[in-house]
Amino acid sequence: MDITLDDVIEMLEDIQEDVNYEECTTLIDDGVLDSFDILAIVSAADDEFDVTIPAKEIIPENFNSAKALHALICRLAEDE
Amino acid sequence: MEILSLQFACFVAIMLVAYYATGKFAPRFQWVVLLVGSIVFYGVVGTWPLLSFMIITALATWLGSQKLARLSGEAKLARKEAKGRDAKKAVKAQFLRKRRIVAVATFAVCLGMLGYLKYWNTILFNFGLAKSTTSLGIVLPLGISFYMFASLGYVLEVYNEKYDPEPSFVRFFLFVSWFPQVIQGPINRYAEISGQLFATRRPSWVGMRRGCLRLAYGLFKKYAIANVLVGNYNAIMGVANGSTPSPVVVTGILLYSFQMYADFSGGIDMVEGVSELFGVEMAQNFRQPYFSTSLADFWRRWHMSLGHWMKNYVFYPLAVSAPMRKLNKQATKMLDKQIGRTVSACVANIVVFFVVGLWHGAELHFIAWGLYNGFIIALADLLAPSFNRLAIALRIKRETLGYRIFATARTFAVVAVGRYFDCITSVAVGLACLKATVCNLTLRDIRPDLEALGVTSPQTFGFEWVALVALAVVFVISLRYERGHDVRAEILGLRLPVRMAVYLACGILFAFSLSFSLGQEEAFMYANF
Repeated sequence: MDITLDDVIEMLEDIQEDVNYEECTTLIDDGVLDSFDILAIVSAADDEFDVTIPAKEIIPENFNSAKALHALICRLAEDE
Repeated sequence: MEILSLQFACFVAIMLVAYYATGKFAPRFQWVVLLVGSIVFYGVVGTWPLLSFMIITALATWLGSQKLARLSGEAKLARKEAKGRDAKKAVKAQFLRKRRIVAVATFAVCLGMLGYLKYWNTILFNFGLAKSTTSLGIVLPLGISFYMFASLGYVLEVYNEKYDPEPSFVRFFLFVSWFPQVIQGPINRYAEISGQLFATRRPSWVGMRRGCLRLAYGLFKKYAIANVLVGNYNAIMGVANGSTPSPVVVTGILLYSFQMYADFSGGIDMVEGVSELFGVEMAQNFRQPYFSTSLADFWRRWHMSLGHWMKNYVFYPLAVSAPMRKLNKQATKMLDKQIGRTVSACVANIVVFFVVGLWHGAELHFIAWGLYNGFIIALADLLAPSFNRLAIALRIKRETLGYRIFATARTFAVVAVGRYFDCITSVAVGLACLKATVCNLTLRDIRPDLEALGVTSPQTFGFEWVALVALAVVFVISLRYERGHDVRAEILGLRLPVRMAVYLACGILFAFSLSFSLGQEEAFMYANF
């Protein structure tokens, strides 16, 4: 299954709306997403894309933008 | 060697001269000055025999991380050579097992040592097998919880392949032993501090002035608030029991809240300031915690380096583990999506705060204090949607200043309730005092009670005027930091006469406060952890 950036943005909007995921590159640094949102993302990635995000990948660089998160999910999907 | 002492001033001055002189003539060896200074400091303050525990910790974590990195390299090669997806997966699993064994063995050595030194006597005492929590005479090495957690964090980062381990043990030992961090933290991360420790640098006038200012601010907090209040706090809470009038206990808890903050954050400001004199910025440990609007927010601002450690190495690994993901799915199926997504965080938070309590000590009151924090945060998370609905129904505007002040006061009260189990060393007495406070809080004149307990300034409820003025100064500075100002830059940018007037006013206050510290031990509360 090909996971697109739009799929990831849709997933993020389900967790927290009213955020410009296409533009924002400081989702963690600026506190837009908190630890609860991160856990919700981990859970949603598992549900929607069948991708397990391990704890060691939970670093700001992987969650600061939709693009970075998309790259992470694609990489993990490939590894699995 | 106390921080406010001629010996410490001479020690830092000699180190600064040696450090920057080496930087000029032999920059490659500049870091060696920091290492030698750190070893000497620990030998003198923490005692030479206890340095052995630091060496064992460093050796175990360094060897463990070297082995982990070697296994990572071998795993990559073996995976490359393996044919087919299944074979690659088998290689990955095989090396993962080996890496886990190494990580667990490293942890076992370090935590086994910490367990014996810090907890063994208390555990025996709790089971009636020791006369007291100190009867075995085990001496807790200075700063062991801080340098050990920093070292274990390093092992976990190498285990997670965040970076390659440091090949030189001697250089790694500087990260473990860096002298400003061994007094009472912060728990530094290797990736953030190593580049600074090993950099070559010339003295920076701006950096020096900023470092001195931070050191002075820490001394101000410690001497003009913490040391002034500690006597009155001890006079009240040292004898508090279930029959102590509840307003007296509340006064004691209030004194503790401010004394403890000034002691810990003041101590951190001092060591951060000293570290900055060498151009090394350590991890931030406080961010105006008493302006927090929730208990979770408070813990993101108080003892932040421990919070980061717990979040990265306990909270996330537990919350995203397979059993927790299963629990989430079951909760979503049986209850609703919101609870399903919250439940793993709630369980992980309770575990994290249990560990935080344990980190402070094996005494039951620390465990109770930790669990109280964990359960309140978990409850707040679970009830967050209900609170949101209630706020909408009652038309409460959460973005207003009034609500912010209310939320800050509410958080202060919630934190203060936890302090009953922190500063009262018996859970039963803590509960009795809390029960009396909740059920029997009467507003009456307690000044005669305070006087009878030996509180030196009953008219102001144990808050000496020096401390009150100093608290007002700290409040103004904190408020400016909270609004995003760089207060140190602002002070250093003031015109000379104004700046001198500020220094003089604070200096006079500081000088007045010194009389309260005469004959007292200057030890920091967190130096005991």
